[in-house]
Amino acid sequence: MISRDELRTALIGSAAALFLNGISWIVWLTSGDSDSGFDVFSMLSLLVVGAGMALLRLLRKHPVINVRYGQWLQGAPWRWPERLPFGRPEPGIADALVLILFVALSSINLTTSLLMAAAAYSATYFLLSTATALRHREPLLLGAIVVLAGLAIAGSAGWSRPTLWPFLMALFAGLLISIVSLKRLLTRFDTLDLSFSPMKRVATSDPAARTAGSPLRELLVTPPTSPPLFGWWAPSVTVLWLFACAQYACQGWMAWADRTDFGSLVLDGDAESMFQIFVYLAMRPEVSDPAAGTFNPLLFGLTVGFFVLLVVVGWTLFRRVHQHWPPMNPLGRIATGRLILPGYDYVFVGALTALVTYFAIAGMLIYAPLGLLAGGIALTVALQVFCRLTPSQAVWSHTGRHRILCLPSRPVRQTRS
Amino acid sequence: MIRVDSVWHHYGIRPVLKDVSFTVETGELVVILGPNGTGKSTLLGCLGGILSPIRGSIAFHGVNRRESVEGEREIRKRVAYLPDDAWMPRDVTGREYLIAIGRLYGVDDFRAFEHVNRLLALFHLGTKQDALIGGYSTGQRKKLALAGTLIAETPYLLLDEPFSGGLDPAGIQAVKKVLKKLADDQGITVVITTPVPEIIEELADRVVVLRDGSVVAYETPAGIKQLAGESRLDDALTRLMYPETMDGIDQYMRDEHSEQGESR
Repeated sequence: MISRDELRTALIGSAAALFLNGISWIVWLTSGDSDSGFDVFSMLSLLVVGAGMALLRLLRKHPVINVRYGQWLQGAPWRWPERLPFGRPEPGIADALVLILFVALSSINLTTSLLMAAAAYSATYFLLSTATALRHREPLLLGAIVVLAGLAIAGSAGWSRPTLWPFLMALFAGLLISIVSLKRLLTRFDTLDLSFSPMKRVATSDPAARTAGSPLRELLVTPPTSPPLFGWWAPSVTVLWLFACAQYACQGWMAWADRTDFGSLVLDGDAESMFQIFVYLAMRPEVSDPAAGTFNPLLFGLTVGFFVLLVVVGWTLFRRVHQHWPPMNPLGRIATGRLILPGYDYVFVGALTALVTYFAIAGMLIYAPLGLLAGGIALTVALQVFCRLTPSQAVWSHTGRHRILCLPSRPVRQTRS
Repeated sequence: MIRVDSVWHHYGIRPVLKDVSFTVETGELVVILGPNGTGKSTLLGCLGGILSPIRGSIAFHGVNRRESVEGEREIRKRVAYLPDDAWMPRDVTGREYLIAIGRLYGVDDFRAFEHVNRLLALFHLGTKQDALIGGYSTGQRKKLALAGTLIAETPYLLLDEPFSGGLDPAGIQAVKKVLKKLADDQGITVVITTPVPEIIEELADRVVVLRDGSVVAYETPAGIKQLAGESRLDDALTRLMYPETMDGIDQYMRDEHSEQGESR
């Protein structure tokens, strides 16, 4: 039997759906005979309703995502697998009712509408769950994302032409895995650190805690910790898997683009056709721009690999050094004239070596018939170099020869009396 | 019985509670009193289990908090903790909220239904019982939060500033009388915090006075007066909590008298 809460959700969602549908008709009436504006608005409304229902479900009902609810529940005698006091966080009957109502109201092709609404719901649920899983170090979902993403990319070229079905199937599989992962989080609910709690806010608003960069933060009674989720091998395996899947898809797409005539592509405006046109133009860029050269998978792979490396290295180093005080930060170095601090700067050695390694490997693979995979291999090796040569946060901050001056906001010139 | 033994707690590198120890006997109503920022809510948060003290231990009926999974679960069943800014779902009705809490704490459904009716009547929330909590005023939400603590029917109640947050005079009276009766007649142990000393004389069996994170007194109201050498409880508490203020007043009055003497 549907609960009162579910019924209420269904009614509120239905009201929103009717409202959006009403606006669609107003758009149609004001756009004259053209149906395109109406179709686009209807499609956007479908996406909004689908995503909105998923957000509503998770933000209201899941105690790990609704942090204040979670903190309240952590003080109560609730334990998995008891029923949560304020309803289920899994997709429920209210969500299905609202989506079906809205799909029935929209005048787009019924199958496409249902698929789009369900895809928007799944994607939102999946993304929010992934962010939560990442924050709470839930390996099942994160591992599944990598595998599913690869399968979706590779599968899109598995038929006689590029297709969106593997993406949609991966999305729905992701929804199921999200539900399982969020349940797994509930099984260890008591041990989760729901750190946006009011008490933690007090802790992080404390000036001493907020400004305590490494290694000062090691002096904190409760230093922030983030144990590694996977070993160092994980980024490399992920990169190789995704690049290999992309290379497989790329070969299929290129073969399809070579035997396809652009003019014969039917522009009927559905998502599948749009995707095929996008793939065609990506594989044959000279069709839209005569000045463009042919698509070069090797160059594309190496460029993507380089940017991924830059982001990983940049973000890692930023997290290490961004809270530091003079004389280690750039301002302090300029003020003291000591531009290089060897005991501190050895944290950058791994990054520089990784960049050099990337270009060396890329140079070696430039004539190999590897396509996109060349970028993946170069990135894999460079990431391993970076991980192995960069000291861990604890090792670096505990054994570095650098000194810390904890000053209020800017370097203060010391004078001799 | 609640035993607080040498509890220390820090926010970042700043100590907030320093070696706090006291024991609350079963059926006592204890008020934790102190100036703003002195650690009252932190202490109650440690008692309520949402904070884990850096050092020291807290035991309910001989079972230490956060020592074992089973022990912690047993404590949670027996302790209802109400923080100052209690979370409440905005999209359920007041009645649904109270019944959900009753179920969470294992209260029989029929008993919970009957108790909910009494609580809604007590706090004059009858007309709002089927409205979504999102539409409640601040004071009504405070009343509902208090009702949510009482519906749990636990032998320990920990309430952070129950008389603040927009509670009207009728609500304050209701909470005072109910807490006193629960402690006196049903042997329920109640610990509350407050920054204001006015309610203490008629309510508290004992008072914990905190200053800068340390316990400066743990006495009955009569004991507090004796300790501070004052005949009035509010003067005694002020002397213990804000000694500089009382010294300043004494100094001012002495200067006033001496000036008057000189002018004569």
